[in-house]
Amino acid sequence: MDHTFDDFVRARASALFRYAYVLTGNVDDAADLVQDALLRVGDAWPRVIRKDDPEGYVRTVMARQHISRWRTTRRERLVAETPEHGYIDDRLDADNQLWIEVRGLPPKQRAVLVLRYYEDLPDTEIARILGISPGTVRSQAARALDKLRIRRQAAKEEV
Amino acid sequence: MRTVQDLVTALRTAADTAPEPFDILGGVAARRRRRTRRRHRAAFAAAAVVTIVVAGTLALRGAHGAQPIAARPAMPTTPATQPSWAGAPSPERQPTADEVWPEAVFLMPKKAADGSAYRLQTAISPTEVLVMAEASFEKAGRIEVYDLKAHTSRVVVPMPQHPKGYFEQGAVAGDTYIAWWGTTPESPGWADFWVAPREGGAPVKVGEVRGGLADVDQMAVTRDHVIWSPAAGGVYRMPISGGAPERIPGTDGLWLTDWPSAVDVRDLWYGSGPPSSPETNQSVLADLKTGARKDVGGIRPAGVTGWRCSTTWCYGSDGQSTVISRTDGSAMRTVPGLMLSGTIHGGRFAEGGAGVYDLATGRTGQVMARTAEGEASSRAVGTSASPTLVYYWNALPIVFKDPCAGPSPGTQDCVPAPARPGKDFKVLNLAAIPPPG
Repeated sequence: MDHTFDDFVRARASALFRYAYVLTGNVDDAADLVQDALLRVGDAWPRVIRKDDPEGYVRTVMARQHISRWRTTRRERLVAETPEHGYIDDRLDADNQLWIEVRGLPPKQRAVLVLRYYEDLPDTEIARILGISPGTVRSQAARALDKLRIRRQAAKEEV
Repeated sequence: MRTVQDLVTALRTAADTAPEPFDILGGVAARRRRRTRRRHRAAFAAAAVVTIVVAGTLALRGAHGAQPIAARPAMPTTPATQPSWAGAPSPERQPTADEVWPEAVFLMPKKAADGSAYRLQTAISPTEVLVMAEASFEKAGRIEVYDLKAHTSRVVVPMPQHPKGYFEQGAVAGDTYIAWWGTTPESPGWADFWVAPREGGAPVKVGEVRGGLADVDQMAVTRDHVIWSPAAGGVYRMPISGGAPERIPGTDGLWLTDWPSAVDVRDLWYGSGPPSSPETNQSVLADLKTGARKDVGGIRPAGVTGWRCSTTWCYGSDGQSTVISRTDGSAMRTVPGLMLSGTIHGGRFAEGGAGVYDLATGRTGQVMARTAEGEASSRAVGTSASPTLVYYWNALPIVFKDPCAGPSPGTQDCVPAPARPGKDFKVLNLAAIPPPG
């Protein structure tokens, strides 16, 4: 049928899954999120492929779906307290501890952090993607960073 | 106190060490099928509404001599922050099917006089199409033959009543009978087969099958049998007069296409599991009436993949061009930039993305609903359980409504939804395209 869509999925599924994983914090929800987004995007693929950045578009759909799903259910899934990977390296272990705490954040706060520090997007763009004001992006990010006991950096937040 | 850099590293590490996803593409395909089964009365609708097909645009660009565009990018290694999927170029204006084959494109109402929605199956003559008329989600419909020239229809058979959860599947036509099958998608592993006289009459239940035999891909009907191939391959038949299903000898690893042809690639897949990959080569073309088995792999040129053959034509790809020949190996030619895929319809037509390509004449016509600006959107393909001979699309230009176009975009998914104005389809009937020469 639409082989280019299949090709896109084959080529980018892994990267999109990793993105979904940091957005949702767990494997099952990540797989759900990627598939939901691709299902929707697949229906509109001719329009999507004509955009300058189809993958960026898919990622936007994923971020919005992640947020709207949470809004619909108004509940956060319990996250496992046990790390999924055993680490020997101290550095990795510290990362993992921080990741466990990130997974414990409310979805919107986590989404803001992921878009800002994983996707490296400016606050105005994050606001557009999530459909909230730039002020809300900043306040959500600040709250999340405080919870994670991360020193706020003026430079980063001015982006 | 942690730093922002710690967070960046933690997120990257988490992403990099995320368990590898399972088969996402397969999962999406399965969900598409399930969703369609829920939304429509018949599961075959999964194949009915085909979203485009940029490959077609590319294929047709190529036909104009433009640089062919690789459809399969190598797995990128760029970081997640730099999405690297290249946007496709804007499509060029290509001749539409009504311009290329005016004698084969017809207007047809989307709905019957009583409001039932028409779902086209296939063509049974140059002027007639087999359609399912669907009264409503819960109500069983009927099979009609619609005359594209006279704009009249006749009811062939009213669908028998079934318990909730039963869905009629794609219909096929033989010389004597119309046949269809039914299944219960929510509890798979069961199917039944039905026939009715082609000239009209009461439905006759042929029989039921279970397990792998019920995982039907394709079907055909003769004067005395219903014939089908399940997802796992092999071609089976059941007497219309009653009796047990039996495997047609010598059909291991074959799938039915146009009766009596069977091939060793699975392109028409409605049962479970994946189809053959586009690169797989067909090497067998069997005639199940005579038992003849033709080796069509021998004429495939070296380096060509995705080889497909009907009784008259073959095609494959060398990565840059489509290589076409007759099934006896003669009349070989190369069409730069053309990309075709899937089974051959009507012995000589193949889908090239947004268009249908005639292997016999080299002509391409686009079959696609479009916006007033010419943007291609979608089309429907006949849902017959055989290689269909009809493609149809909204006759009037479609309109896209972008939910994110407003001044204050919300958090709804910004997937533009097409509106399809008007009461007519345009239908391309491949059976109405005259033979070459």
